[in-house]
Amino acid sequence: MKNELLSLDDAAARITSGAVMTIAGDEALLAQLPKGNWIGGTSVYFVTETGGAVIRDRLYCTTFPEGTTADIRVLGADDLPRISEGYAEGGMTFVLIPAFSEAHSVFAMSGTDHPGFFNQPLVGWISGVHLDDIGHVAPKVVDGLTGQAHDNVAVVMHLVLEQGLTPQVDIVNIFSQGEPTAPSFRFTQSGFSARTVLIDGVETPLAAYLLDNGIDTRLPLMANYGGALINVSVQSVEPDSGMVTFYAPVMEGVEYRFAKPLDNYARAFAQQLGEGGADQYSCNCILNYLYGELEGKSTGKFTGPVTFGEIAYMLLNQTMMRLELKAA
Amino acid sequence: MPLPSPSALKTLILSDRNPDKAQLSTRIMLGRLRIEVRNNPTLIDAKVAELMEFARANACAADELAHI
Repeated sequence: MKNELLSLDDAAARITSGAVMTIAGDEALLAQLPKGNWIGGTSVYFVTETGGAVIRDRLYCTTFPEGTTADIRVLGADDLPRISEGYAEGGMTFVLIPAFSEAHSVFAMSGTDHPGFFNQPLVGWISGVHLDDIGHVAPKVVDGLTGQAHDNVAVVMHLVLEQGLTPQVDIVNIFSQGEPTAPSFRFTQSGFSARTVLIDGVETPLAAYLLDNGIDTRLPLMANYGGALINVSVQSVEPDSGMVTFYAPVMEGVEYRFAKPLDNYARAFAQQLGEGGADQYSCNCILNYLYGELEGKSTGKFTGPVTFGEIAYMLLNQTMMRLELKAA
Repeated sequence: MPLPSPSALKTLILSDRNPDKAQLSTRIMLGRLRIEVRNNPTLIDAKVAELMEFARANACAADELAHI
């Protein structure tokens, strides 16, 4: 695969050549691209080789010469359970979903419950907008086959790869979970918000707890899924209503602990990422970009869109997703 | 690659041994099934069947699950 920041003309030429691509960029540029074998999503934040940046005049293009066929589908929230019906043997699947949409909520809440969901690599991201535009401009995804932009459905690309290539999906989470002696949080209901939580087994008003204890809510709640540390980020704490909202759902019965603080965000990324990454597909979370003040700071050779959620089988927060195509 | 036995998968779901070196899908899948069974223990047989189906569709996962 090849990752490049391309001008509109160069991206259009690439599409016209028949290339299979995923594209991230400003909505105005995506709307001018020709039809072809691509899917896209809106983003104006990117991680580049020289650091994080807001880019509106170029498109982040990943081209897959390894793809032998690409089947593009548009799935509404009700159709997401059928995502694995498009899985092709020897393939993998990309999914892009607009932030704040019903498809976003449904995927987050029940995506992993769907039959066959885990049977092949599934990666993607949640499209976003400039932070100044939240509430005014809807994030979009684009079905390149028709050129149509959508703000409430997922676009999916099922890619069949050349024989001998194995897609390897992983996540980079720079956080570590608090010590086993740190307070544990269990929610009695799954959802994007909560008023109460069981803290070490005792029902507690969550907003009051966070405020009274000076909890740094830039740190995510973390759960251990079979050894994979999965973050849920706090979106808001409302003292009057007692409501706490999250960027991904907290799940019933899962034990969460707040992450340990980081000394230096950008350095933590650089240390975890090492020297690799130039030839991998990746996306990084807008919260890492913001809280880590990554604009202008290099985090290694991984480049890609900065997104409103990352998908590696499930919706992730404050995480970098990466995909490598490895020779078997 | 022979599939792990249902009883081995049941033991795995009910344990807290983590496949730290397994592929991400195996880790998340196992983690999710453990959570569901913890919330509702009567689901164990259904979740063993789900994990078996996952292993059947994914040779690498079958190998990983057999060696945790």
